[in-house]
Amino acid sequence: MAVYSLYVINKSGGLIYNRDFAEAARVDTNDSLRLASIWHSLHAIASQLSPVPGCTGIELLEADTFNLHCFQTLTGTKFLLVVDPHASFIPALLLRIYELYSDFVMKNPFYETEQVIKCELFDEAVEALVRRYLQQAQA
Amino acid sequence: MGCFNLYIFNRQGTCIYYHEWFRPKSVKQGAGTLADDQKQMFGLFWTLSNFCATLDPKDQTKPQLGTPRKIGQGCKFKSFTTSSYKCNFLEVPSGIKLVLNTHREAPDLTDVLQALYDDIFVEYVVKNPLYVPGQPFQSDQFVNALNAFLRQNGLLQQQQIMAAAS
Repeated sequence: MAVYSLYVINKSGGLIYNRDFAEAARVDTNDSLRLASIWHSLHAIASQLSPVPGCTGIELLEADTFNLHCFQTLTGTKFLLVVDPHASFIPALLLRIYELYSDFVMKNPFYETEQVIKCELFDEAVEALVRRYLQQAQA
Repeated sequence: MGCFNLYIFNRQGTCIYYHEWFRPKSVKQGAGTLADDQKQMFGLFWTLSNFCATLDPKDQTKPQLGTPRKIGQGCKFKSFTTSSYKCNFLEVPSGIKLVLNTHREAPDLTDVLQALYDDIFVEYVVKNPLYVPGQPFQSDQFVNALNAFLRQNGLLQQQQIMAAAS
């Protein structure tokens, strides 16, 4: 049970926030920027390829060693969480992170929308939230 | 659970087989033509497999994004789920790729896809003496066996997805 990393992608596909919770999860900076924009387009292609109308994009990607959960807000910002395949309650955790984003980033008067998030309070709150989640998961 | 469609690609990325059970959103509203739709699906598969190999949180020596990989090397991915469908993938060592779109509540289908490859594709296509490996094919026997196999695994309960789509 582990949470590896968090990515926040703005509505045009740029990476605005990246945090790794495990050392091994660290990805090269250039690669993480590219991964973010690739995810943005894959998300759009997946809804285009949908055999049913009204598809809003990928919500969960399952791989051998990790699961990637994606939450897209109404404004097009995407929150990605890379977690262990056995982790549970991740969609709820993503919603909590979105709440923290609204509180600490969007309400920050010095934050310019769609720009890189540099906000200490958000960092701390996310860190605390993930720590609390892991403790609860172990208990 | 129901199935929407199945794509089989050869190692070069050409779609050698396509079968559709139920597709309420026509190709025209998506990629445009069926050939483009198949190319796009292969592109999605290809990009996602590179994406997963680079993102793999358990691998210390991650390949840089875009480095060539051998078939089966690096972290593989099984499926993705969207708000309306689930897309299941399997790549076998010979480079044949199976992509099956199902109902979004479908369970892990890795074993089912592997069995589909072993028991249906190999039996009815590869063992056919007239089949040229890697070429597109059409075979009634294969279609019948495929339908029977999916029905046996409870994957062709179409009324469920039809009800969900309407």
